[in-house]
Amino acid sequence: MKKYLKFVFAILIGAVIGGVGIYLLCENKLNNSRMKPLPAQEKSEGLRGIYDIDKNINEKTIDNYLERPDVVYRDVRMLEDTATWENKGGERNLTGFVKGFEVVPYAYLTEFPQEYIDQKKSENVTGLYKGKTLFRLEDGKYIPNYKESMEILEYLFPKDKIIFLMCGAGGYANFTKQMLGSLGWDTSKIYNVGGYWNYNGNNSISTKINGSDKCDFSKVPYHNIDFSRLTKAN
Amino acid sequence: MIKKLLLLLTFIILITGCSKTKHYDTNKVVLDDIYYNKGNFIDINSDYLNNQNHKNYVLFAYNSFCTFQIPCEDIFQEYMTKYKVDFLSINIDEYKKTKLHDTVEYAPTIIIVKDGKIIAYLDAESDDDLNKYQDVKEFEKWINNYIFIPN
Repeated sequence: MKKYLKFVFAILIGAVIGGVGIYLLCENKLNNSRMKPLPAQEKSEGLRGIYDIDKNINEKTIDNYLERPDVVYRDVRMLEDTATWENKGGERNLTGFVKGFEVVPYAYLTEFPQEYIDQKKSENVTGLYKGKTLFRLEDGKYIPNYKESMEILEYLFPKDKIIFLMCGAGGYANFTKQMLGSLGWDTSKIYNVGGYWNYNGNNSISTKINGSDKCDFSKVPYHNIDFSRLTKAN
Repeated sequence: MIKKLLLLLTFIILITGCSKTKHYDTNKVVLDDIYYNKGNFIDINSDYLNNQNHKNYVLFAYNSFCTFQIPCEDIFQEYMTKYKVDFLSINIDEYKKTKLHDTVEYAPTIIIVKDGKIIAYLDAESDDDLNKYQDVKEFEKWINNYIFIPN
């Protein structure tokens, strides 16, 4: 009798666990299919349109589009910028970011165009990053510096996903989108969602250590590119 | 007699009242005296700005990381130097902590304030204002509609 009861009890437990598991699996699939489609890309007007910041998905509305499984979220600033932004009233450190965004510095993807370097110099901002990058610019084309460059780029910005790009004001995000488009990405799937400095939503994470000017970057989901392990392209 | 006097008094008050209204309609914003100076940006923080109730000034809220063909601060500086008018300037991080941010959300922007209230501003999201950020003549034409410039 006891064995029989144990057997029945085990069957019941198994059925409950199995049932819950199937429910959760179905609910997840159902949620995905219920996920609202993203609004089509529409460029903002005015100055913000120059950066190709999206009119519908931007700093004001991004909180409505976080945690989507069909999107990758990339913040393309450096953790600590090498440029003297403080000369223009800015700061070098990534003092905050939007939850869900992962940092992939644009500066490590490709070199800055000379016109941009010159313009920043005229604004008293010098020291833009000039170190190793995955690609270089030659006659307006992006040339890989390493054999692994394209593979890394495709890993960081998967072509089968929608890509949300953010930076400080929208500029680097715009550069990144242009670069990806030039290298074969479908730009209709890449949204420039603007700059963290215009963000006032509920998902801001500060990296500042209380009471000091220092930052704790351990909070930041960061993609490191170890150039020392890469093979130089011919 | 008293009725006639009252009628006359009412008439006089109405006439002077209308004239006064007409006078205000054509007034431009006379900035606080300290801003008719050398044509400099005066860098401030949110605490300072939040205490500028009932003041008249022009504010430049900027985002350091902006990159345009012509830096807009160069456009504004050219105007300020020409007319020797100082603008207050504040970076976006501080600006977000002020009451003005409730109305004007995006930087860069120029905001004209009278008695602590926004009279006009450049909208970073408007095609109509784009040329005012990049052309000093367009900027001058716009701002001179609103602020008084002494001869």
